[in-house]
Amino acid sequence: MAKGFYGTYRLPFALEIPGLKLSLAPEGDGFLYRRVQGDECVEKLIFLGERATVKLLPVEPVNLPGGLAQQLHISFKKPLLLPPRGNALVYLVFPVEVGVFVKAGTLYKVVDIFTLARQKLTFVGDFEKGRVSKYYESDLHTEIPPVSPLKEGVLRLRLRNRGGEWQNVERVSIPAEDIKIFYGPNLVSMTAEGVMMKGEIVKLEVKETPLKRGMKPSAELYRPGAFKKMTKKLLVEVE
Amino acid sequence: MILDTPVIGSITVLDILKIVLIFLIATVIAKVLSSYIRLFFKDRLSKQPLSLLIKGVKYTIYIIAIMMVLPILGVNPSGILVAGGILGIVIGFASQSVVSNLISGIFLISEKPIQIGDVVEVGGTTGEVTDIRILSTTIKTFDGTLVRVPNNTVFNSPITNYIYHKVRRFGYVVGIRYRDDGEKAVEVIKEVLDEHPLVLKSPEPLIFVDELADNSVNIVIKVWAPVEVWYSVKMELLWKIKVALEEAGVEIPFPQTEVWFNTPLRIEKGSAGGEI
Repeated sequence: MAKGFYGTYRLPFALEIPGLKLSLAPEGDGFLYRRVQGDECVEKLIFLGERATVKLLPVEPVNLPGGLAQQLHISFKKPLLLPPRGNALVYLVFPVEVGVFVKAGTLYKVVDIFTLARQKLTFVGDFEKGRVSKYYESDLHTEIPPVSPLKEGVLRLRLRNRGGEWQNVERVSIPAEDIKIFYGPNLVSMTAEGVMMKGEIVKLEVKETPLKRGMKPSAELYRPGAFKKMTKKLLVEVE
Repeated sequence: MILDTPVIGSITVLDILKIVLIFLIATVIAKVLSSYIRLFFKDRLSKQPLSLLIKGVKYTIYIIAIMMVLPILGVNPSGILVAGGILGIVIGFASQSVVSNLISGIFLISEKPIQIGDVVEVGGTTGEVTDIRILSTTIKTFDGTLVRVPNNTVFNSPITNYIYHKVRRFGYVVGIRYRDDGEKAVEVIKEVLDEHPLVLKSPEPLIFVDELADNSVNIVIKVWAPVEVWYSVKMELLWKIKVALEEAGVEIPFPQTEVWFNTPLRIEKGSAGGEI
């Protein structure tokens, strides 16, 4: 059993936290997966061997609602002002979505994705090329804010103003395929660096580094080939 | 000279070489054109119409080659051309619509004003495009029927593509009683929209009192949602708005008429019992 909420669980397993009940209980030759969250009840009958395991991992927070979002859009509750050639380091919160992975044969399968965070969509960009995005509002923090790792993660965002004018920053968007999440027992995190020019972030790079030492890279469902790579990694980790 | 030596009748070795060369060039041109057509249309056309198109191009090239060979063989092609011309005109008239649909189909496939999977309204038919063939386009309507629309009609009609953009707006008009608080009603509706995960934060929903109508104060609501789910959101949202308004004490009125009498009405007891 992993420390904290995230990690590997042996079957059968049951987990209960306020507002959420998760279980994988034997049912005939298989297991019945059940998630009860508020009025919602999701059930799936999964045929797994006795040595099968289940993993709970934070995934890119763009799957809910409806798998319609192409990116994560964080709107700042107050604007950030950056002087010419200035740098800023801020911490934002982002919604966490949890993937339930089960091992089927030699491959992992996502059987469910849920979230305890608020779900909302927005549209970013012009009508021709814009993207439907997962919307979340965040305060600007100057140090890692206290968050519930089941509900919110922390994004460390370093901004550099390359222009000769003051910059006013009010939001940041991260495409689904660029999101790289790390998790630990008490924290889910992302790290990104953005370059500002003419009032907008012209380049945003999500770093492959955790916010704290010891955090593990999480599942990536959107980066091409990443899930396959992760599957191999998980197999090594589990066996 | 050996090249001028007659082989069959007046046909010389040179003539045979010319014929071979013409057919050789025609074959090369046909092969090159076929490969280009296959390459260009392989993602745009299904196997059968693509094969038909390639065959058509090949036969046209070979017919041109034969017409070039005929004078070498001593046959005057003008007679054939005249007969062919007349036949062509007859066939042309007969197949006018087929050719028109074919050319429209080629333009539809190359220009791509619609694609398979698009939800469109074209030529009076609304539904999902299931196939774009060389002569016709098939549309599956929302009641499950399949409509074959000739490409000529598709090409020459205004096309409304309902899913070209990723988001779509829809709206309602909700009437409240004159005695209800309009600002409160707007706030309640705003909360319902804000709580719904599929109602887009931006473009922002519009909610405003639009009309002081005969029986109600009309509030207009305009909402944006992702194009994939806009209709289910539309179906779901109106009831939520109704329930939320009622919970807030705002009621949706029904048409009422107040009748005023100049003289007070006299109420009489009925002789058969009971009172009016």
